[in-house]
Amino acid sequence: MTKANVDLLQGTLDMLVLKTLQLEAQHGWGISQRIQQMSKDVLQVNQGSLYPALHRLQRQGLIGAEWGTSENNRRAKYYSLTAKGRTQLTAERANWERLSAAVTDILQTV
Amino acid sequence: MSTGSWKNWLTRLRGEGRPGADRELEDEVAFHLEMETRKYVEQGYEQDEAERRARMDFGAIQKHKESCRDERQGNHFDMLMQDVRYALRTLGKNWGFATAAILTLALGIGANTAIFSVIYGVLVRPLPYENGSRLVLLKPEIAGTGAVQTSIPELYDLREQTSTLDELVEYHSMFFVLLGRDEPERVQTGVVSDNFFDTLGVAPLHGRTFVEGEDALDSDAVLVLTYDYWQRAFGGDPDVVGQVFEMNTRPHTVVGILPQIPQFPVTVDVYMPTSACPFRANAERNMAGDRSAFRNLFVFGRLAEDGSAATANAEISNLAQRFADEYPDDYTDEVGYRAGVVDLKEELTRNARPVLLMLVATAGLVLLIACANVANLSLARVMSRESEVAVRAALGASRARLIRQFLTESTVLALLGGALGLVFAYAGLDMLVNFAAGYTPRAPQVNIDGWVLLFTLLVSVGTGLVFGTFPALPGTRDLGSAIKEGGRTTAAGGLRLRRALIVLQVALSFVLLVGAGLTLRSLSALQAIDPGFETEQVLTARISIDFTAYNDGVDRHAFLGELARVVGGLPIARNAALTDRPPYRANNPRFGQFIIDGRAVEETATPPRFQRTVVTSQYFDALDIPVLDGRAFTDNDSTGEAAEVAIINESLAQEYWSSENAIGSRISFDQGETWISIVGVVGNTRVDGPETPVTPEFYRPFNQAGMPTWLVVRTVGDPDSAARAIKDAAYSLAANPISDIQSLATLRDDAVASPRLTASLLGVFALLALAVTLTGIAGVMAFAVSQRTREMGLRLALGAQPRGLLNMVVRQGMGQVVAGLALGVAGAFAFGQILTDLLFEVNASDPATFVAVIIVLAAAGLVAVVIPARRAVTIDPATALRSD
Repeated sequence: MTKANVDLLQGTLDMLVLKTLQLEAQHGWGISQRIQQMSKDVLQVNQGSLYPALHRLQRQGLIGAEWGTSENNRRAKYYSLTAKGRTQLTAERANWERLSAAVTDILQTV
Repeated sequence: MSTGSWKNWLTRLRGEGRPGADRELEDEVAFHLEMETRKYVEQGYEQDEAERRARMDFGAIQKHKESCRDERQGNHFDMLMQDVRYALRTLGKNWGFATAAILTLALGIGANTAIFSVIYGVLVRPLPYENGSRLVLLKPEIAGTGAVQTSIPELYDLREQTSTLDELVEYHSMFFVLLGRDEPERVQTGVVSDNFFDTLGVAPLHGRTFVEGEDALDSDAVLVLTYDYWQRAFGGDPDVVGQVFEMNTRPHTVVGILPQIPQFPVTVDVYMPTSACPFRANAERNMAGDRSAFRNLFVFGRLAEDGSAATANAEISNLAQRFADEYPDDYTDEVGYRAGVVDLKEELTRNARPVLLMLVATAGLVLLIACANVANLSLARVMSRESEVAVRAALGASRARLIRQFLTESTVLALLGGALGLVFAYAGLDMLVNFAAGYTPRAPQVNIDGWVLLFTLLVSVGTGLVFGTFPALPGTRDLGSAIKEGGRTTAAGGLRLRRALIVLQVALSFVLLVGAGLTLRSLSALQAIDPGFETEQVLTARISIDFTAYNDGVDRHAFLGELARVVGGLPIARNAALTDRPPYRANNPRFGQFIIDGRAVEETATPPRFQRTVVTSQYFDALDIPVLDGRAFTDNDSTGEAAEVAIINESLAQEYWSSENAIGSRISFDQGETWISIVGVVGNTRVDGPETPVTPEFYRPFNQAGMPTWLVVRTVGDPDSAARAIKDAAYSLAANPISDIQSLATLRDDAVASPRLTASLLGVFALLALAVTLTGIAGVMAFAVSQRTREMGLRLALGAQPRGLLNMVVRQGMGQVVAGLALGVAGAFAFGQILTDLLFEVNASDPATFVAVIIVLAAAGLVAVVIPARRAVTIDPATALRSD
């Protein structure tokens, strides 16, 4: 398995975390696995960034946290999107699409 | 701040629930590692290897946890808490410095907190009535004689004609006897128009207040009880509403209870509408043709919506002028009549303004001195902490971070000082409220509430930032050279600042000392005034006549005469007399006109001012007022057929009979209908207090004029047992006949209580300021000298005389003192202007006071300079050269 060495900018990671929580609540490990899966193993989340990001988003009120039981019957901390987080995700997503389109345009210019 | 964010903030303050949050993080990481391990096991790794890989993937666990913690609380807060903990630790290690600083700050902040609470309670807080901001007081005036009250016809005319005031209400107070409880009881009764409470905006606690129509002379008598009286007499039983009591031989029904409201101008027990007061009602029945009918009314007005006191004042003074034009016989040119309105709140606080201004200025000066002193102390400490600061800087602390550390430390100090200052303020508030009560009826509304606490918090933080900036600037500048030079560079900058602070402290102390000196001189001038009568061993008491029991003038006079006779016969009494103008009790000024037999009436712009006092024959003996010419009154003067006589005081005799003998002259108060012979001249007195000027005065004997309802007793032996004996004797004659027994010595002291408190307040603050300043001077001198130890040693070794060195050092030290004095003189002139209104017979720029304070401060400063300087020049040169 080749590990992609892509460094995620802080803001980008926050957006991806919000995205993974869009459909259902998830614990920290689950989030890192989902990002890896959805990016087809291109993006490998650094745990040293993930957990601080989760606490930051929580402080900003974008996600909430609750202790629950995991699929293997363990106590795990589940994060879920708040209403504020949902709005934020929409905004960031629009922003990202504008940005990446712009970057693509520049790169395609001969 | 919402509850949520408060909670959030509190969590953070508590190290944001560190144990709980950390344990959760621990569990979360453990769960992650477990899941990761399981993933590797599923991929075929051994358990051990899977665990190792999982941990490796995760990275530095501790570091990540730390980052999480930072994210959770936000970095700033964490750093702040770190600074605060560090500040507390350093202060704890320097408890001597911390104690001195906290005490100084507590003094400054406490003084400001207490004084702010007074200012806020008296000047800022609205009157506690719903319509408080729209209430005005009618102020009628008769030319040359001053304030008077309003009569019924005047009130009715004003009410009819005004358009700027939407309501006018009247008020007077009287004692009546209330029957129907276990014992007959004299109650202080406020007599008010039926729209009184609605106009003020006071809603009843139970029942109702008065309603329209209850002023009508034929309406049933009703009562409203005040809260305090209801509690005291009926234990707060709401069923008292509806009960009937007898007053003035009529049934009175209680219709309501008032809430606890402050009452102006006096506190009463019950209120009744005007129709229930027999005197007021009688006057109204017979008022035809009498413009002065029942001139006893205080009148309050409520401004029309969006009206202003200024326009109302203009209108009322026009109306008053119209009265004077319309009734020239009632308002003669000499008497005149003017009226206006003033804002009620302003009127109630007018007298307090100069005092409050003085208090604010003093408190401000004290806080400034406290700031300067603590800044000085902190600078001294910073200079000795230089290497510590340099090491912290070398280890990577930025200058901003260092400055923040200093400011945090000073703010922590100031907050601690503020907390202690609050304790001081609580302790001193009662004294201050009593002080203010001498000037305004609003004083009881002063307390320490949320606004005051907020003020204290803001002042504390502000103070901390102000005095913290001083040490922070030189203390953190150019740290590289600080290490190299062993601390001499910053010391120079710091020393300059410290010297400047000393100049400021000397100046501020000078201002406070001059203030204290001026008020002390004013106080001693007040106390040196000879009142003209004896104040030791004299008791005075108010006599209350039961108007229903003694219902005509003859009966009342008989009762008063009997009372004086019985009390005078007691073994504890040397003399007992009656008067209608007792010493040191607030008396309404009484003025009037008189003519002298055989002299043309002088045409003067204003009628002569004089007092007329009714007394019994023993009065001059009881108060030891000397009879300068002629005779005192005798009991014969008070018998029915006696000739009309008067005694005048020296002032009146000099003014009108300067070259002739006044005895035997005749005067008249009623344009010559009755003539009164002058039979004696007595010494001048200042019965209304030492600061009131001597007024020309007539004395009339008991039974020839007025009703003297004050008892004056010259006693023998212990005044307390004398007071008891007088009370017992009086109570054997009637129920509740006398009240308010006080010795003249006490009343005399009370009369100068406020000036004395002003003087002692300023005196204490000034002495504290002086002490703080002197220690500051000595400290700076000692430091300056120690910085130059090597130089001194060198000079001595090269043959300089210790005397010459001493002179040099002292000259430098005294330079600050002299600069401070110069600055202080300017400040003291300004402060003196604030004090002017409070000074008696002393000029605010009194040269003697200024010179005395200059000498005292310069001498004290010299001592503070010389002591450390001497130490410097007595040092052994060899030791000095090896120092550093």
